[in-house]
Amino acid sequence: MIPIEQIQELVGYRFPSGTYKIEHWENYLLTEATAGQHFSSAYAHPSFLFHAPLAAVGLTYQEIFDLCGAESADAVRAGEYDWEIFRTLQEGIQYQAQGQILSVERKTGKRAGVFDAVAFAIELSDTKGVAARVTNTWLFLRTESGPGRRSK
Amino acid sequence: MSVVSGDRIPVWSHGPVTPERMALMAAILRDPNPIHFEPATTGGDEKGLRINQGPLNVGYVANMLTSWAGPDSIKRLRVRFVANVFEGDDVEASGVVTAIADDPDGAVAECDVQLVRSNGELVLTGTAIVRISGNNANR
Repeated sequence: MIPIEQIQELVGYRFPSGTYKIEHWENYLLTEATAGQHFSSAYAHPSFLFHAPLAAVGLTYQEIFDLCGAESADAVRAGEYDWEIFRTLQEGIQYQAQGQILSVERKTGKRAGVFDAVAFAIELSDTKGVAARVTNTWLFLRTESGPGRRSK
Repeated sequence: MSVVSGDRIPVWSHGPVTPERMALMAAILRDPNPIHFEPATTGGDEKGLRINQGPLNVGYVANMLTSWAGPDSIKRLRVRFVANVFEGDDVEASGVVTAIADDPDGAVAECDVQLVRSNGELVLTGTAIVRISGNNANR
């Protein structure tokens, strides 16, 4: 198991800054994946608040898994998402992203066993300022005999 | 739209959750985790069924909110995941207005939200703040 001291060194780690523009086709397809309503406006589906920040900072899931010492892709779970939206994301706008790892906490759960809760925040900004801030917590299981598969 | 505390948000239902939509989401997200697009060959929960992505589960709750109040209505959405959704499940997003508040953009509804799967298991729970345009409700 990765030492807690090692994983706590991630606190304050700043993701690379970057940009992301939501294209109409991917907004359409992501909306389709959620079985959501296709609105006639250019507003992006809210689930882009998961995808766009990570895409903007240019990190793949595997790179985040590696950064946080995930034992496998199966050993990563979704914990909590907190999405603050100051201006609804829209297609065709170039968003600037910056973010960092906020906290790491080692916990023990009845079902999950030992895990590290890694919280990170990423802000997406347009020309008017911060348009949205996401604070997501992912759980990294630290026991090989975990409860099975789980999604992010 | 007239909204008061205690109002129930119209339920948003979907099902069954299909591998095709999970695969589409995996491609959009560039998510290489096979639990979303390959049936497990050994062990795992629910007999190796594919597991729906967390952003899809949150997306169902968002669909409920935007169907109710409009595509630009969500100001904040906080959720905590407590269980998985599997292929073949039906899901139901629901919510209730807990308060009406003033905001620089106008009135907003504070809501409790949740998603449950077909066997009644709670998948996620959370809160939302939703802009309600033209609200003339009693506060």
